[in-house]
Amino acid sequence: MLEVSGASGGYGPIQVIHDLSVSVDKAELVALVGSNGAGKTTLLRAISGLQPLTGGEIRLDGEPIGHLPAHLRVARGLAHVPEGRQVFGPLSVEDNLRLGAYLNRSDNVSRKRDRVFDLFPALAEKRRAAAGSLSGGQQQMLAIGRALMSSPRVLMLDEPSMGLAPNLVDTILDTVGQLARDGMAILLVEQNAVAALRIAARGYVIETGRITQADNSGALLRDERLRAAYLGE
Amino acid sequence: MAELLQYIATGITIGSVYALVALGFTLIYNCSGIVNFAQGEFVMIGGMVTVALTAYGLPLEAAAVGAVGVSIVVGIAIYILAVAPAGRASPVTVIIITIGVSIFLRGAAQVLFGKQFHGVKPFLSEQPVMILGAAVQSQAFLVIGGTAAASLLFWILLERTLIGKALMATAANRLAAQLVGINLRRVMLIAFGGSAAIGAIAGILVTPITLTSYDVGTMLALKGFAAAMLGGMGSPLGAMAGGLLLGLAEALSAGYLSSAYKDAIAFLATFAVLLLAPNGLLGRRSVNRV
Repeated sequence: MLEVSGASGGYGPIQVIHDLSVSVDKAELVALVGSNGAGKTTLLRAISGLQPLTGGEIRLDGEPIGHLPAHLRVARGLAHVPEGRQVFGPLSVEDNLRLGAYLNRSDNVSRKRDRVFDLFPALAEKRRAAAGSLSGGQQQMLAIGRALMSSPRVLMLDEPSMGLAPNLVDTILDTVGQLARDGMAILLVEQNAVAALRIAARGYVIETGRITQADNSGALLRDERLRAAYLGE
Repeated sequence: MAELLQYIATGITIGSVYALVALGFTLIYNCSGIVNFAQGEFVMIGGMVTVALTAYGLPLEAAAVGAVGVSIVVGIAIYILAVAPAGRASPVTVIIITIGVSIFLRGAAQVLFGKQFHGVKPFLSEQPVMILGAAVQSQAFLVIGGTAAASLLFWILLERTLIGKALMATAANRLAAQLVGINLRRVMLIAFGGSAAIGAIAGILVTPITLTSYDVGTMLALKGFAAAMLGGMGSPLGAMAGGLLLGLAEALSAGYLSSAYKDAIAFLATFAVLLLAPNGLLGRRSVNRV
């Protein structure tokens, strides 16, 4: 569904990612783990079109999308929940969700919104509140809900557990796992490697902008070297 | 009493113009972080084109619509030809570009319309209306009413339409706006076009009172910018309040002190407010939970 091959890029003269290749299939949850500064966020930003690649190719359903501006990649079915949530602070929860379906002109917007409220009941209670006034966990739910409003086929999440209480982390990752089982292709970036690999089918380990390991998550979780480096053991 | 009323009427009238200029600043600033110093030129274009088209024999209504149209085209051209090519340059660079655009537009207007003042007749009647001893020009009511209508329309566009919400979303978070599929280029075109239309409306309404010339935009841009700062940069309501306050401060100081100092008083008042409240009267403090 999503294939990235040979991606290289960075910020100005500083190259952050080197010849990265990752792929995610339909109904598959793939984790991308690695330490801070390894290039995970840069890769997601390049895939969603927020910054250009200097080399490599991005394909969605076999079609190259690397030349498209960000808003047209959304139209193709790609959604990106960015690091730090990035909700529209002054706007209400409902407006945030409505904007999530910005490209969707049809009338099933309210049905989709109700589905998001089913998924995250905490948001339904706050529907008229300004998004900036929500707690960190609620903002994360809103950021995910907003991404779901575009009915994506591929969902990319950047550190959804960052700064959240452990029970909220579980709630959010459970939901992410459920979305994959329902058929979505999900690329999950996490520093919390254990939590991510537990729900993922496969994982990539990224170090200083290069993929150093790619395997199914069970194998990665058992890997001694990886446990020492990323899993805090 | 009649004197005070007279000054207040003048203040609100000229304040309405400042408010519209400030609103134009706010619209572009919110969507891009850019302060468009060619904002005053939209007011000049609105007035000038109305004068020129009525001189060609067009009825006033048609001339006004034409003037708004020309202004929108100029606004969009500014974005496409001057602002967009700057790409990801810093806002300060783009602000300096808009100052260049403003100088260019003034020069072009000087060549096209000459250096003299131009005017149009008041839209309704030349007889002032007497209110409690104060003589208020009928045109002043049009300026105030037109400003109220334009800002109401602006508010409806922002709050009640999806494209308005997209503008507000872009103002709140440009990165997230791209990620929900908002086309930033289109948002910028709407901001520049809308801003140009607002400025032109101000120019059309006020020209019968103040006359217009190729360089009226310079001072109006400064006053409008001061008004936007006074109200709190980025807040549409603040822009309205700032504009009206600035107009009142100016008219009252011109009346009771000396008209020689009216500009100085207006800027001093703005300066004083900003010393006490750096975010302006209605400016949002950037509070966000993380």
